[in-house]
Amino acid sequence: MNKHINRFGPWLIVASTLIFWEICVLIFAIPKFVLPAPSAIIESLVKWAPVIAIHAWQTLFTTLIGFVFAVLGGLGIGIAVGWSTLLYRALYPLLIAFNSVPKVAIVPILVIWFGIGTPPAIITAFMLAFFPIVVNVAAGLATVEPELEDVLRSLGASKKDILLKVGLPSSAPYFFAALKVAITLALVGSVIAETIAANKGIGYLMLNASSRFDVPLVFAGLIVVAIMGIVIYEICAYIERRTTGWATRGATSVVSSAGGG
Amino acid sequence: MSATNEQAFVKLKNVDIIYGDNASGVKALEGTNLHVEKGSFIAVVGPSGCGKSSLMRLVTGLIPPSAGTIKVANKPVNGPLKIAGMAFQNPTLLPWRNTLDNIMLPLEIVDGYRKDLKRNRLKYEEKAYALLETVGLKDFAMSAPHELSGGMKQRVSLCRALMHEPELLMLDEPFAALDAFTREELWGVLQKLWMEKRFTVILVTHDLREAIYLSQKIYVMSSRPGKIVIEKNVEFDFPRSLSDTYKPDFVALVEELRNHISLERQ
Repeated sequence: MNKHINRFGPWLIVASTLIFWEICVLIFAIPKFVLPAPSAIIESLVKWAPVIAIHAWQTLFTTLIGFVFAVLGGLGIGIAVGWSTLLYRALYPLLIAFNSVPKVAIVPILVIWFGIGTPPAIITAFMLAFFPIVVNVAAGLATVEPELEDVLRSLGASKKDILLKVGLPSSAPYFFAALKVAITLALVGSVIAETIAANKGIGYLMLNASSRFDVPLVFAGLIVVAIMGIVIYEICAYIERRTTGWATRGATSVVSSAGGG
Repeated sequence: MSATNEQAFVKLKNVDIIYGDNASGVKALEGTNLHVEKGSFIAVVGPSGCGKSSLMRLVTGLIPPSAGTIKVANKPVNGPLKIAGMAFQNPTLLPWRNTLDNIMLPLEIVDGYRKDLKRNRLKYEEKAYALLETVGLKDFAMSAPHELSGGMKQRVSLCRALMHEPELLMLDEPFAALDAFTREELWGVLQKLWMEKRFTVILVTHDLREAIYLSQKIYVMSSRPGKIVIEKNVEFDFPRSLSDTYKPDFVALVEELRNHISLERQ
């Protein structure tokens, strides 16, 4: 019995929320352009499916490209900063400044440079996803026990040996934890850029629909974004579990930090 | 101090360590002289904060002395040694590697081994198994560190320190975090290993029974700034057993050293 509740509990909650929502809309006769009922949203979702698919694909594409760049850049800079105290001191203020700037405010500049379309979305996704990866990789490298470093150095290990044998493996859990945060932030970045300056993508679709008061379609877009977010998060969580299972058993606790949009 | 022995394997002469700048820094070690013969087992005891751990890092070349000279195997130490094995209170195993791969780690780093490790992997693995057998862990070669008890981890740590057959083994309170029974059991394991392989050991501890049980010579250090105040030879025959530790001679020696240390603490 308990097992069944564990398994179906979440779905039960979702289903009952939707039913409650539907009933409320019916009873209080809420107009569609204020709050559409779930049935209306689904109807819109089905009706516009081919169009939504095109825009969803665009959003997924910019999210993933931005994410890949964020992973590469974040790993590179994270390792550099974790490796060298000098680089850490030099880059730290810049990184903090970079992270403090609201990324929405940068989108207009990106539009000036790259025009409306795909590049601003990719770059915004990159900017949001980049920081947590840098911070976590650097933090992971910093967790190497000084005694272990002594052991290795007394064997004649170079700094590179220590990085490869100990530093990178021990920061792997931090890195994979950061991926979960980063991929979701990349999606946020893409959608933000699309709502400001784009002619394609779920963000654009929602903005466009809302200007026509097609609120069911706005909600349909929202649901598609949510589902995409959950799926890519779960993929990253799965990769994390597969690669760094050892970390969840040991004493190492994994922290992750989220940046702001 | 004792007569200078030209054959000494580890030799410290008038060594000071000062943390911070020379004028206002904290003096951790002062005028330390130490002679360790090849193949001998010495222990350094003293109150906490007396610079014992600084001494460890100094001998292995991980920190440079502020004054004085250090020679190991007749060569001045001016960088990490490359021939030492180290084990600490904390076993510092790599959690993502199983026992076998953990103790193979030194072979991936030490100069003579890293080149032919791939070719001779099987041979080295056999050696690792043999080492694990001597510490009673043969059946745990494939276990992950989190599956081992504290005492088992410390055994693995000891094996890792010995895997590359170092000439010098540095132990920094290796058994301090273990319960009394496990600790005494591991004294036996370490003594057996040392008697078989006869590497040179410097053991830092503040357990006097441990120091006397294991070593041939004990250096007592004063508290900050650390200074070696007494050298004491331990004449009991090897192998020593736990019941030896309750014999009158042994107990008398413990008491004698304890009195020295309490004098030093004042």
